[in-house]
Amino acid sequence: MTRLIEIEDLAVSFRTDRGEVEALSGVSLHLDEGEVLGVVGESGCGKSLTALAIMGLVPSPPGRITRGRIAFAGRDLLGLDEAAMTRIRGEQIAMIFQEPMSALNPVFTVGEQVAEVLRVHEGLGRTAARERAAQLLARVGIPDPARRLGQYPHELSGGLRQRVMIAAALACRPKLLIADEPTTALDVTIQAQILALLADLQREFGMATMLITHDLGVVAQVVTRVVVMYAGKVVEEGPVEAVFERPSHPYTAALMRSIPALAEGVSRLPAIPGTVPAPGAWPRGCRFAPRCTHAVPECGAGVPPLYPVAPGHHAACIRHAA
Amino acid sequence: MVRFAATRLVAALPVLLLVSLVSFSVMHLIPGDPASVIAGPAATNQEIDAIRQQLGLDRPFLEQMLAWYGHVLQGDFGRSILLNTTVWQAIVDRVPVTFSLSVLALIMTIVVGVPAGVIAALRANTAVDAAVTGMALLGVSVPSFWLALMLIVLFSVILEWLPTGGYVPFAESPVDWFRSLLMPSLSLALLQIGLLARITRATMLEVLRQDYVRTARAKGLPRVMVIGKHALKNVMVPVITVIGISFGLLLSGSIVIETVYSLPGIGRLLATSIFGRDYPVIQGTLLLTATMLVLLNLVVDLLYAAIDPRVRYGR
Ligand SMILES: Nc1ncnc2c1ncn2[C@@H]1O[C@H](COP(=O)(O)OP(=O)(O)OP(=O)(O)O)[C@@H](O)[C@H]1O
Ligand SMILES: [Mg+2]
Repeated sequence: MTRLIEIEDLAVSFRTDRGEVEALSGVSLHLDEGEVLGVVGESGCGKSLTALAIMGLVPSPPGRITRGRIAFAGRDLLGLDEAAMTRIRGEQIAMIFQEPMSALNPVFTVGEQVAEVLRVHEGLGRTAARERAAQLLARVGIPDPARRLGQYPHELSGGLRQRVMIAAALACRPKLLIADEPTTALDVTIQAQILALLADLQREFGMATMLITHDLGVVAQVVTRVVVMYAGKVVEEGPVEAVFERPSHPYTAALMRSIPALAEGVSRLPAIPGTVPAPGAWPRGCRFAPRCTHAVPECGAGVPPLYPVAPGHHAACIRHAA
Repeated sequence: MVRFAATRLVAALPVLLLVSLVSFSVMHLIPGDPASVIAGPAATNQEIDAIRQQLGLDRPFLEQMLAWYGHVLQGDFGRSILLNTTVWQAIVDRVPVTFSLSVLALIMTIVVGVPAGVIAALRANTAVDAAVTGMALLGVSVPSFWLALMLIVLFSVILEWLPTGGYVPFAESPVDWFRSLLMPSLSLALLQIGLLARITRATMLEVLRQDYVRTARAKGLPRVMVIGKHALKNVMVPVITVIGISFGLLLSGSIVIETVYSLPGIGRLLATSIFGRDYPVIQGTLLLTATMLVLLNLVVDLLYAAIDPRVRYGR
């Protein structure tokens, strides 16, 4: 398989009233063509930020990419100017967001919001774009697409809106789809439908997918490889079976223990005692150490790199230091 | 949309009723006896009684009111005391002046205010933003009559480019019409430009933070489309309302400006009739301008609904 995305040592800082604060510090991950990658971690770990960095949409100011490299199909994305990046967005890399409510523009019809992508990237005329938009709406499982085209977002349910977002994202058959918690804001039954739709479309279009979620249960169902993030760093990555069978970072293990609670719908928050430290308040050394049941004094010595656990499976915990 | 318009029209009826009541009551609310005020200090009692009778002020309040409504509904607003004409004719003669003035000022307000606000928002916290915000603050702070006088000093007295006052009808000479209204409408517009620029800037900053703007960028739309289409249409939703209010303020601001530039418009008519205690003209002018404002509000509501579908569907 060929590399589609290769991120190396990516760091993003925000200017705040407490000074310049690093929110991503040296994230490295990769994604092959056609692969489905899950990115998991609690709130505030930097999952969305990583995705936005790929899209070239880190809010700036106050945000800034301070170092690192993002290669997409061999091209250095961080070196591209805005015009070149605009051509890639929506055409080769598409993204859908968590809140289908606010992610669609309230004052345009959903048909327009799908069709404009085709007009801009493929130069289609109004009628042709509209026809294609109708086909796309049908493909993402929206009944009566011809009528829906003329409706406004507030006339659609959350599930339908997310389908519209998916239709707009897939309009140009991107090579990479980034789905940032696409189901978190939806009802449980709708969540399953949307995930099934995404998996289905992924198989049909053969596009690589980066699925961001705080839900390891979702990961188990749809992805082939997992990246676990904690406090602005990758702490574990590997094939999904390997990570589930042998979680090698205590944080991953703790996340996994919280799955049963999730499955019963008791709580969406992983039941790990304590909270993720905010950027700027990260402890020295391993950032998970203060919440870790295995912590030893050496954990504070330095930030642990990703140690190999098995081929293609790495964890940033000194217990795996050779 | 038609149903929406109809409901709004019905909702405006009570307001119109209230407005007409206030207009009618002017005669009775203003302190003093209108008849003796009109007659002047040297008048005899008989003369005052005669005027009272002529105005119907000797009849019971309710009867007076019903009679007034009866006349108004037939388009009869009475005769002016000072001017040798009917109230209706006095107003109709002056509407084109005030209308030209307000529309010109409104066009200036929109053409300058909205782009200035948008540019300030896009360049937030830069020198450009500071310049626009500063100018806007200046525009809001400078009293319009003072500005009007300064413009006259500069453009009429010193540079001698524009007339100091007076009105030339459009039909007579469009160029002179425009020249006669340029300074007055600018004096009127400056405050509104300042207000509109500030509100547009704040709204645009708010809209730019919205998720749908990020979505538009994520879809790879060029920046002109993200700003000029997705953001701007949302900005226009509140801004349209402000423009409507602006237009109303322009109408009332014309009282001062028409006096300074001696333009024969509604504003000056109202001013002279107030000073001259010309009650029928005061009543008629109030009633007609207030009705205009209510209708204007209606138009704004309809525009608002045309832009924002959520309003249309009653959400
Ligand atoms: N606009 C911003 N200004 C300042 N800090 C920010 C901004 N956006 C993100 N951050 C910081 O970056 C960190 C990572 O945010 P990110 O949105 O990537 O988290 P996440 O892993 O996606 O969390 P969630 O599950 O809640 O979506 C956050 O802790 C936040 O403090
Ligand atoms: Mg997020």
